[in-house]
Amino acid sequence: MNLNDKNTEKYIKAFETYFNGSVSQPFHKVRQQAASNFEKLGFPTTKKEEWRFTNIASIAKADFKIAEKKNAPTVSLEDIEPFLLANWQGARIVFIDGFYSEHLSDIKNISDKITLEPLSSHFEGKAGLVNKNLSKIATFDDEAFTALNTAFTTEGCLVHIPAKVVENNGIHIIHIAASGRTLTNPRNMILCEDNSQALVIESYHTLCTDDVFVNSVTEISVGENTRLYHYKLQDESLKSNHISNVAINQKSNSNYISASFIFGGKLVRNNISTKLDGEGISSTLNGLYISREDQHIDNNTFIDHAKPHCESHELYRGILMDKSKGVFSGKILVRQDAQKTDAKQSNNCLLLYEDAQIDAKPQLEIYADDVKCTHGATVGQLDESAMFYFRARGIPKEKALSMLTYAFAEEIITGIKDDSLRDRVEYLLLDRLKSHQA
Amino acid sequence: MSSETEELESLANQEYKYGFVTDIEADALPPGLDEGTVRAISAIKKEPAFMTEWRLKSYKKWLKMEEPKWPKVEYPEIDFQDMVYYSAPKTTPKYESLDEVDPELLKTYKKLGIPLEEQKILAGVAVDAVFDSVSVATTFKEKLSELGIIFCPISEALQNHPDLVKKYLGSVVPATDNFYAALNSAVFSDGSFVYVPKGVRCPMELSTYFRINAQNTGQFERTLIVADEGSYVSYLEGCTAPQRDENQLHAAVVELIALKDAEIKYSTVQNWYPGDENGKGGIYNFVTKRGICHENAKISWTQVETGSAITWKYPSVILKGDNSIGEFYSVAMTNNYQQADTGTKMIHIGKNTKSNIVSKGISAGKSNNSYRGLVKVMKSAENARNFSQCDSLLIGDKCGAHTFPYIEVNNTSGKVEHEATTSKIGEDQIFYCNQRGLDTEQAVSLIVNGYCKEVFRELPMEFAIEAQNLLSISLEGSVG
Repeated sequence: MNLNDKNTEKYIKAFETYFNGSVSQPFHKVRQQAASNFEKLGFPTTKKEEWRFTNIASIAKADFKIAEKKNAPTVSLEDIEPFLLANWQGARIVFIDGFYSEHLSDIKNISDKITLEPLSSHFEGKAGLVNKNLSKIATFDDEAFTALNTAFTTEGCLVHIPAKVVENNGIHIIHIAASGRTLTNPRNMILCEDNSQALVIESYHTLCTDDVFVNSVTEISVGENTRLYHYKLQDESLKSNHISNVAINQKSNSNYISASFIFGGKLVRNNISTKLDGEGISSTLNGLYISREDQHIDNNTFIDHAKPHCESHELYRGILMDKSKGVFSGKILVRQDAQKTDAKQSNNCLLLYEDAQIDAKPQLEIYADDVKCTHGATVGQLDESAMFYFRARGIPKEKALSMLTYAFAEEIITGIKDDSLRDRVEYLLLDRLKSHQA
Repeated sequence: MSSETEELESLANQEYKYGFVTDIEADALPPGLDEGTVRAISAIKKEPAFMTEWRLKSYKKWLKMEEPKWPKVEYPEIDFQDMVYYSAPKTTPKYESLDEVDPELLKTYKKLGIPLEEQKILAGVAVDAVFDSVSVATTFKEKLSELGIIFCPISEALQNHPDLVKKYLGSVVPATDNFYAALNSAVFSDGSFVYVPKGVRCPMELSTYFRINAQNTGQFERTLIVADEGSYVSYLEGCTAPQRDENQLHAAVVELIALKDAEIKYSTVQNWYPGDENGKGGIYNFVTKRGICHENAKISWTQVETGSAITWKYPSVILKGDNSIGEFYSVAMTNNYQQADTGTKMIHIGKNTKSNIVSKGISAGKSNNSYRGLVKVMKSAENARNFSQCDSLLIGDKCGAHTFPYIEVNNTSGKVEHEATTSKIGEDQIFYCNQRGLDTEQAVSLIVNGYCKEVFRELPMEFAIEAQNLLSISLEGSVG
C-alpha cells in the first residue's frame, strides 16, 4: 500500500535470514510470534491516537540495516570514557550496538548472588529465568516497536536480584550505538525478587556521526516488599532516533522509584507503562528533558492501578528551546477494584526562546469511587518578576536565565538517589543551557 | 455509611419527574431520509432557493461521512432511515394572546414549571417556545424590534432576513464539520435566530424552551446568534422531554458570532429524558456548538447537563480577534446508565486572547462521565492565556469519571494551565456537617452545591432557580 508497509516487509525479510543456529532455542518461537505481530501492526501512523503528535515516518522510511554482532566496531575504554560516571562505586556492563562487550564491562563491587550478564547465556535449555520471564511484561500484542525489538532480541542485559538481597552499590548498564545507518535493539530485563533492593542506571549514547535508530525495550519485575531505583539517561547525538519501551510489573508493598533524563536524540519517544499488581504499592515516575534545535521528544506514560491502596506519583518537567517540540501524554487508569488509590500527575513545560512547541495530553480514566486522583499541566515562561529581581541585583540576563531554569529542574535532580548520576545530570543540564547561550 | 448509601441510592433512583406525553396531533413526514425528504422540508418551510441548495449540498456531503466513533460512549447503531425528519403540531397558528394557545400545550408547560402566563409579568424574559419543531408562541417581540433586535424562529428569519442568514449560516460550523452537523444542515427543522445590531445592549434575557414530543422524531435544531459590533446579548436554552422507551436522536447545531467588542452569553439547562434505571430509552444528544470571537469580543458558554442517555457536546470558542475572551462553565451529572462525553475547545488565534474553563462532572450509578477538551494556542497567538479546571465527583463504585484534555501550544509566549481532580465527598466533610446538626442528605446537598457553585454563579437569575431544582431532583440525593 505505501512505503510504510514496504519497510515493515524489509525488516521481516531480514528476520528470516538473520538467525543461524539460534533457531533451535525455545525463545525463537517468541521471536517468530513477535515478527509476525510486527508484520501485522506495521509502523504506527499519526492516525493512531497514541501517535497523534509524533510522526515516525522518517524512521519508517529510512533505510536502516539491522545491527549484527560481527559488524560491531571495536570500541576502546578510552572511547567510552565520557559516558562513565565519575566516582562510580558500582558495577558496569557495556553493550555496543546491543551486543555485550566483555572487555569494556567491569562487574565488581556487587554481591555475587546477583546475576549481571548478557541474556544470551540463558537462551539455551528450556527452563530458567529468561525463558520464563522474557516478553511476559513487555508484551508486543499492540506495540509494534516492542514486537520489532523482540523479534531481534539476541543478547541484551539480564539483572537478577535474588530474594532478600539488598545491594547498595548501583548497576550501570551502558548501551552505545556505534554503527551508523543501523537499527539496534537494546534489551534489558531487570528481575527483583521479594524483599530485595537495588539501583539500576541505564544510559544510552552514540559513537558515530551518522543517523541511527535505537529501539530499546526494558522489562522490570519488582517483587513483594522490594525497592528498586531505576534511572534512565539518554544522551545520544542529535542524529539518533530513539524509541524506548519500559514495562514494569509491581507486586504488593513494592516501591519503584524512577526518573528518566532525556538530553539527546532527534526523534525520541519514551513509553513507560507500569502495572500496580498488588496492594500497598508505591510507584514514582519522574522525567526531565531539555530539547534544542529541531529535537522532538515525546514522553508517554501509563499507570495501571489494578489493586486497592496504591499510590503513584508522576512529575515531568520539560525545557524547550529553539525549534524543538515536546509531547507529553500521561494516562492513569484506576480499575474498579482499586479503591483508596492516590494518584498524582503533574507536567510542567518551560518554553524558552521562540518557535518551541508543546502538546500535552494528560488523561484520567477512573472506575472506582473512593480515590484521590489529580493531574496538572502547565506551559509557560520564566517569571518576569523573578528575572527582574536578578537583574536588579546585577546578575546578567544569561546567568539569571540559567539559574531560574536550573531551579525549575532542580526538584527532579535532587531526588536522584545516586551522587555520581546526580552530578552528571546537573552537569549536562548546565552545559546545555550554557552552550545555547554561547 | 451503609444506611446513608441506601438513602442516597433511593434518592438517586427517583423516577423522572417530567415524563409525560402531550396529546397533540402532529403533522409529520413519513420516516426515512433521501433527497426528497430534504426538498420536502425545505418546501414546507417555503425557503429561498439558496437554502434548498445548501441543504442538498450538506445532505450529499453527509452521505460520504462516517459516524464518529472516538467519544467514550456506547450505543446501538442508529438507523437513520427509521426516523421522522419533520413533525410539526397540526396547527401552526400565530397567537395574539396566550388565551388562544392550545390549552393542552399550556398544561404541559405548567407541569414543566415554565411560567408562560407569568412571563408578561416576569420582567424581561421573551420566550420563543419551540414545541417539537415549530414555534408556537413568540412574545416580547415588539419590545425587541423597537431596538432593532431580531429574535425569531430561523424559518421566519429565512423569509424576512435572508441576507443575514445567508451571510452567517454555516460560517462557524460548516456543513461538512462533522457527521451530525452535516445531518443537521440537511434536515434542520427550525430553531432560533438572533441578531443584535451595533452598540445595542439587549435589555432582557432571550430564551427558548425546546421540547421533544412526537415519538421517533429526531429533533434537529439550528440556532444562529449574531452580535454586531459593541452589542451584548444573553441567551438561555432549557430543555425537558417526555418519557419515552425508544431512543430519540437530537443533533442540534448552535453558531455564535461575536463581532468586534460584542459579548454573547449562552446558557443551557439540559434535562432530557435520560432513560430508565436499566438504561432503556433516553435521548441521544449529539450537539455541535461553536462560537467565533472577533476583536475584543467575548463568548461565554454555561451549561448544566443532567439529562440525556448519551451526551456528546463540546461548546467551543474560536478566539480569532486580538484581546478576545472565551469562557466555558459546565456541570455535567450522570446517573444510572447515562453516558456523557463533554467538554470544550478553545482555539487561540489572536494576540492577548484569554480563555477560562471550569468543568464539574458528577457520576453516579453505572454511568460514565468524561471531560474531553482542547486548548490550542496557534503560532500567531502572542501572550495567550488559558486556565482550565476539571473536577470529577464519583458516587458509587460502578461509575466512571474520565478526563481527556489536550493541550497544544505553538507559541512560546503562551501560558496554559490545566488542573484536574477526581475524588468522592470526604467522609470528614460529611462528619463535620453531621456534627453541626445537618443530616447526611443535607450535608451532601450543601457540599455538592458548593462544588458546583463556581458554575451556577455564571447562570442568569432566571436559570439559577431551574438549575437548583434540577439538582434537587437528580443531583443532591445521589451524591455521597
